[in-house]
Amino acid sequence: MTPLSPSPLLRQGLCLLTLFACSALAPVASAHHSFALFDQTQTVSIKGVVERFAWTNPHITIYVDTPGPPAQRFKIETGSVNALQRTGWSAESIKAGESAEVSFKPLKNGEPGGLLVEIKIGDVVLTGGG
Amino acid sequence: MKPTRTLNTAMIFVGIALVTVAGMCNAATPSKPLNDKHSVSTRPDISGTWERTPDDWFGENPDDPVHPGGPMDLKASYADEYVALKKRQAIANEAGTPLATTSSKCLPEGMPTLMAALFPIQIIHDDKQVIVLGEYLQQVRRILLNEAMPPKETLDPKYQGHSRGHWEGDTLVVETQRVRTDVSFYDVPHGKDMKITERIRLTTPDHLENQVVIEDPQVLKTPYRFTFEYKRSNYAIQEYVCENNQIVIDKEGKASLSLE
Repeated sequence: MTPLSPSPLLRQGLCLLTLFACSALAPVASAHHSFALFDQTQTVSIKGVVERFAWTNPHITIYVDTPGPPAQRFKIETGSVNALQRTGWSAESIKAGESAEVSFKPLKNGEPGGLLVEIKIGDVVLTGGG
Repeated sequence: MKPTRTLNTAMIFVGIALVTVAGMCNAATPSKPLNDKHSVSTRPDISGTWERTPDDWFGENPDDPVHPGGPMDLKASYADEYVALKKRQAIANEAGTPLATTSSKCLPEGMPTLMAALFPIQIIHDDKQVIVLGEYLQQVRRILLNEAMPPKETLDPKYQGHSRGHWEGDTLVVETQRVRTDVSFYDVPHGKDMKITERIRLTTPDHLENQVVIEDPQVLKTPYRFTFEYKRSNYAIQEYVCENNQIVIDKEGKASLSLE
């Protein structure tokens, strides 16, 4: 049984029980697929420009272009629309063209992507979750 | 004192007006039999949005959730299959290519997982039916009240099965049959004759209890019993359309993330 998006309180509770520095990432991945896609032992940070912000279920996805070299496009997943809007996210939270600092748990297969830990745009910090 | 008397007089007029209007409404609509124990006015109100409680109900590892009633008493062949599946899952997880599940394909959870309320659920009910709306994937479960369960062989398998219910005092008793056999519960399969019985009641106005018994002569040696506890929530269930599935599933059933 994999679909998960426990309550905000549960997410907070899970946060305390996981290795993550942010609120309960674990339920995020499992909301639609296993957590095991991502390497939970690593956190990668990048700086780039948001190419696209997909406010969609089962996962919100942020595409970030980094200049490199080599230039790369990272695909960063986070939780569902339903869970994250309960924590303050909205469809307008992130816009294409914005400069962003992103930290994430990388894909185990080495492809440029991962599970969002945190995205910082200017003074605004959004945490992945749910 | 005068303002108080004025207010009291006004309240009396309002009261008279309300009583009069209420009487007119009653006269205009058919009245329910006073002895109808299932009527809206007498049955417990379990309507509303509900979320699971206590907060740590799920356990620590999302890839290895706590079974609500402890280990299931599986028949030997299914116990062996379950152990083998867990080994395959562990190997696939380690490799970063977890085995795909029905949710990887945006398919409904089905019963009884819907009632686990991993996302919030909403209950709506009247004299004839109880509707359970699951936020996750916009699932709908219909429980028809005071109707006999049709012969099983006449029922087509469905994700949520076929549910019939009735009130026994303060408890809604529901039987569910014919859940699709490709629906699993905590990675455990079930046979076509699985029967789920639920006893749902308010323990306080804001706390709902669902005592569940799963009987499955094909898979289980003994009935599997557990209780889901829910707390009332003021959250309004939202739309959930699984429109942007990014999972790619290979021939071996292993999932990876599309990079498109």
